[in-house]
Amino acid sequence: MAAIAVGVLALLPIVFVLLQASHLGLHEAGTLLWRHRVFELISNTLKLTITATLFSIVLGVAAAWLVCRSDVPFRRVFGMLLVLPLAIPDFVAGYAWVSLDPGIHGFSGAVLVTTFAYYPFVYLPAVATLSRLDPALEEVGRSLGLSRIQVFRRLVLPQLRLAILGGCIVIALHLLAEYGAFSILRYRTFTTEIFAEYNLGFDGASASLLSLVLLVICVVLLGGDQRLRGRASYASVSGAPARTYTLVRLGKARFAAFGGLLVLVALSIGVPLSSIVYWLVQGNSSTLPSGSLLAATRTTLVLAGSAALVTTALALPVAFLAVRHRSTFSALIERSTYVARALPGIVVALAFVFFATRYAAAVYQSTFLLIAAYVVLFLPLALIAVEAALAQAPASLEEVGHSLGKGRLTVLWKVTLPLIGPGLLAAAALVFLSTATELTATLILSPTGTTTLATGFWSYTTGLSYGAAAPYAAVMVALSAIPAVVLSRYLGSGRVTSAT
Amino acid sequence: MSEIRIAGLEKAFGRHQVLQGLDLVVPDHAVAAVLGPSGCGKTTLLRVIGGFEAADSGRVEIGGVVVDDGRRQLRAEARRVGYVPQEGALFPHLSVGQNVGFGLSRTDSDRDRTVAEALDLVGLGGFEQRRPNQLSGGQQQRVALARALAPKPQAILLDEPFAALDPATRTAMRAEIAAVLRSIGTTVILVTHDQAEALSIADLVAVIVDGKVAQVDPPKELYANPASRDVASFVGEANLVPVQIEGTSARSALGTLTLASEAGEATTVLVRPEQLLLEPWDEGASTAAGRVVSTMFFGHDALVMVELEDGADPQLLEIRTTGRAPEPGERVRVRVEGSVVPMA
Repeated sequence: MAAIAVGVLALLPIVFVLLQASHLGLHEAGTLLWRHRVFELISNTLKLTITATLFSIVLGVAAAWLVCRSDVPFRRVFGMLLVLPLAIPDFVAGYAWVSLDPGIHGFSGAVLVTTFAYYPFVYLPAVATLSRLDPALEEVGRSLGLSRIQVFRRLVLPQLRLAILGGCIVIALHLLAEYGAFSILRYRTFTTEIFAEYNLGFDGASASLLSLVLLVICVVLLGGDQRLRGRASYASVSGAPARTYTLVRLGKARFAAFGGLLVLVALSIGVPLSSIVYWLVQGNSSTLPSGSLLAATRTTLVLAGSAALVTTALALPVAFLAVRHRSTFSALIERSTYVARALPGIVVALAFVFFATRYAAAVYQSTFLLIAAYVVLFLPLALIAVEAALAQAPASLEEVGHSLGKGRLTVLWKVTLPLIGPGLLAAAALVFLSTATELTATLILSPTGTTTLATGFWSYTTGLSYGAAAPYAAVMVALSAIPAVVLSRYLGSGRVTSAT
Repeated sequence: MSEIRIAGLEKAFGRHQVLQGLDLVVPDHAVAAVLGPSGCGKTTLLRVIGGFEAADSGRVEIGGVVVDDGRRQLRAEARRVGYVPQEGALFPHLSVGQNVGFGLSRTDSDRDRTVAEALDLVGLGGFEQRRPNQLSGGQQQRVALARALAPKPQAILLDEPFAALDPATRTAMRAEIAAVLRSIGTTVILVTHDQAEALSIADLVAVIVDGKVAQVDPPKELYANPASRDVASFVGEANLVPVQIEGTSARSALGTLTLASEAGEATTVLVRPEQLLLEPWDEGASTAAGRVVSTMFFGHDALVMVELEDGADPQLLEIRTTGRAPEPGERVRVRVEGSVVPMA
């Protein structure tokens, strides 16, 4: 039952977009799209995606290789630091750069900010793959007369390909959905355009038409991801390696590599953090809104906490259906939540506004609706963690439990839940982190008078009160750092920090 | 009473028909081995009996109670059937003692004693506090068996219990587990693709071919009188020799052979490798003449391939010999010992 509800909820935004777009004639649609210079938006998005993704691949793969395979100094410390940009919301990173130098804007600014914010999406799966590869493969390569570089190019890189491509798709989906950072950087994308349209007075038809284009692009990307996943099995043919790698000695290059990683960390975490600190100190002399900051923190904690609880609880039955009871029906439900992965926050938010104002005025502008939107947005994230955990807890354990005379609930309580506990925790952490730093949907859906850290930060930033915005950014980053560390350990980079 | 009766069992996965009208009766207290090549449906059979899969049609009875009639299934937890999956599947988050006690009632005052007894039975007394990851593969398997035995089930199902063990451990475990299974007097069904395992442990061996039981018999009977060529060649090594039947004897390239049973329409006979005796070449002897094609030496014995010189079609024979292993190319004499089984 819960699973069906979840599936329906996830499809709501898509129904909304199609419904809205279907009211328009073809000609009218054409004119509207033309007015928004859709081709400029597409080319903007494409240009940014390609450039930022390429830079992210280079940074992510190089950093992953150095941390996993080389004797670069402090590799374990770097292993942790390199994940941290994920704890800094994109719009905070954008604010940090722009407030340091107002000259940073447009295409080059967007590339700069997003590359340093998104390279962990390549870095993380690359680390996971590198630490899973069987060292024997590379040893065989060497024994066949290949040099280290040839081994990397011909044996390691092909195996990393899936991790890299998967990371690229995640980056692209993020780029498409991001509003705050591009708004600060004054770079026009679909999402900023839709938002502007909405702010101008909710021109439903126009905004939803743009949403439709955005959605189509996202779903196409998702299809690519799906195809990759289908072939992913080939990446892990031989299972976990029994032995550990001997680290590559870099010699003199050791310090160059160290310097490189240091610069990467400085640009990706150092700049945002020091900028926040700078404005904190500066802003201290002016107005420090301690009371409203406290209220915003409390609101954020409550919202993120409830979203994490509800989403994880709902992910459990869906994951169960998907992993344990494969059928056309369960695949359908899983797929519908999976499609939601491609839904930008703005589309979800507009859909909820649309349905609430028409059919459920009572919940419009309510916390309930806001949390429901968070659930739709972040359920796919929670599902990934819960499904992975369930898949690793063999069904035969549950069967043995039943054969020993224990019913469904006892087995769930005494066998399954203890085994997937870490996965549930990771799912909750992931949702908490994402909710605490969510801006786009929160701006549209939060009840009047409700201010979260993100929206509080946003209202000051748009008023160019960088000093007043800084405390909000600081609390947000501090709040998300904890789940981010939990996550990075769970997602496999934990092996880097603890192994060998 | 915990006899297991299976009649007309059918089960398909998608378009793949795995079980095709399978019939099998395992009497109370018997240890039955279900033997068959991989993919023949033996694991599916076990899972249907255990209640982890539902039958499409047919009937499964345990101890006189119908647990699955192709429409309604008794839940797995209500069947009182112990299950030992491949590789044991111990609960990794529980200690050995908690694993073994899992199926016992929480209020059972004898709980600790029952756990201790079950562990004693499998030779792991005092292991209660260990964690599963501190045990060897063989020990894990024995804990899994103790866990299945502790609630005193009507029957025990074992799915390839020794497959994950290394060969040396496997032989020792096989003897140990066979002794345990016999001592508890429970009905046991063990699934395996290893004929030596089936023949050495079980009272009764059921050979499954294409989702049906091809033959059920005690091990010796099965080996001596296989019902079909499939069974003959799956259970032990088999030489199938073409013959011409003449009353109670048969003429073949191996000379005149004595038949073990009524010939019927048979055109071939089954000759086991150990029934064939290799003799040094003797020009004047009356036994069949052959030439050694290859020799596989195992230490305690050797498997020799011999091509017979008589007969229209060249006939290859597998011969197991414990004496001197002849070299390829040598000429030898082949004598048949005992009677042979006619096969249709």
